[in-house]
Amino acid sequence: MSAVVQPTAMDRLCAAFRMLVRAELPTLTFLGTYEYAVQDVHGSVPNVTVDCSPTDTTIALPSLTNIAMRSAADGATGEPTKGNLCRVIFLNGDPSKPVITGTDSTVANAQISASGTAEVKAGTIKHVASGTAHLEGATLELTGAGVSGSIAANAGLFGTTEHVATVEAVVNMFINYTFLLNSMGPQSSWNTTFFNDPTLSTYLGLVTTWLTNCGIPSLPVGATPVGPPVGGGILWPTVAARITSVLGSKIPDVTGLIPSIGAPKFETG
Amino acid sequence: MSAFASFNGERVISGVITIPMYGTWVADIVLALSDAMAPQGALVVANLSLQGTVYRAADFSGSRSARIVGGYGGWKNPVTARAYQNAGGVPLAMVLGDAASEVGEKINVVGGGTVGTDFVREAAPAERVLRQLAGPLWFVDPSGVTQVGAQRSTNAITSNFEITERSGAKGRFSIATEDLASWMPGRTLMSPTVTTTQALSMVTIVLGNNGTVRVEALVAP
Repeated sequence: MSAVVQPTAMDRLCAAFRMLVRAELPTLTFLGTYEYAVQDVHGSVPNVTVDCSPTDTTIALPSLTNIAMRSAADGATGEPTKGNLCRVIFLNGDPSKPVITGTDSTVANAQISASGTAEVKAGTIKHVASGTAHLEGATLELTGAGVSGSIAANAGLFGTTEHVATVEAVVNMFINYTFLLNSMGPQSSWNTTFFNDPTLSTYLGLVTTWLTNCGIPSLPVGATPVGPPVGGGILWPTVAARITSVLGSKIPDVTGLIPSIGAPKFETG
Repeated sequence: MSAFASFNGERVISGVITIPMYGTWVADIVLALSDAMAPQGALVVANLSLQGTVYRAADFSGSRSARIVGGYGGWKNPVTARAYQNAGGVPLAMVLGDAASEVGEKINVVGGGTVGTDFVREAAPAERVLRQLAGPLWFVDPSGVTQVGAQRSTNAITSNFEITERSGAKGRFSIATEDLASWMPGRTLMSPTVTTTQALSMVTIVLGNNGTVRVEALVAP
């Protein structure tokens, strides 16, 4: 629908009355919401400005340049693409304050910015697009009943020092530890069987089997024992370094089925 | 018949000139002229000269009556839609100056400043832009220049005049004077019979076809 049809000048009384009204409400035009078409986009979220033109050329408003993008949703901004339709309003009905409050349902990029917590309350949250949903510099918290499935994430999501250890993983480690002890034979023979070897190769081979059974595919490559056993005992610094290296590799459960050290139920992205 | 009033040199037989505090002055006059009249000119009454434009005119029975409005008759004309943007602020004087020049008006913006980093001008009569940015506080001065942000003179009227009538109920004075130029809205008057200062709100100059002239002044409030 076009703008309100003006009366003809033939009706002098009505024309005079309308002039009086418009004189009292000179910014009446700017109280509306207008549909514009995006002609160009500048910047990136959250600092996006848009060049746009009215889709209805009878609305008596000009094309606009570098108009700030504001979303109708609090804290949300979008980066539309050329050809998108957008909504232009004027804050407080002021012709010096044009802003864009929304666009088509699909935009190039969108962002919700909050210094505190941004909550989404819904029965189901879906990511159905072919693109990427990006969570950066924030904590993703899933709470409540019905949370299931998996979250695709890249290795960066695991951080550098944190680990996820499930109860199942710990129990699994202890069970497999008993197999390790069993394979090592009587403790009285360990010094001669394992620890007299400066490279601890036999012992570390058993440890490799143990960790593999715990769901960790393999020991890290390149860990070399340093120095002879101390007093005929275990070269603890070397073993400790191996364990640290193992945990530092952030090995996920690649199958998504075996609870383990690392990131259970996470899939590599 | 008035021998001291004319419009663009043509003698004015009678008329009424209304000069408000804000907005533009309007004059309905009758001239001893049946030919077409100049579209613009100076309406002169004694020592008062007002630059105006013919808004409407027609002749009848050997005389011509016309409505004259202050300025150059442009504010009613449309301007095109236009968008302004300046990160340092869009000057008020620029927006108003553009609108005025596009419709042939002259404007003086006192103070000014900026209207913000954006201004969106709609396609509308130019006077709407004026009202959007200046509100109702503008007026057309005797030289035809639209004044924005300027204050009318509040000086007391010191020339000779005679109060022939006063209506306290209507807040109106009828004045006889030869110094019409001093009787502008905003000016103040006192006299031996009016001992409190009266500020003029609106002035009407009535030219009788018997050669008389009187000022009717409404005072505020």
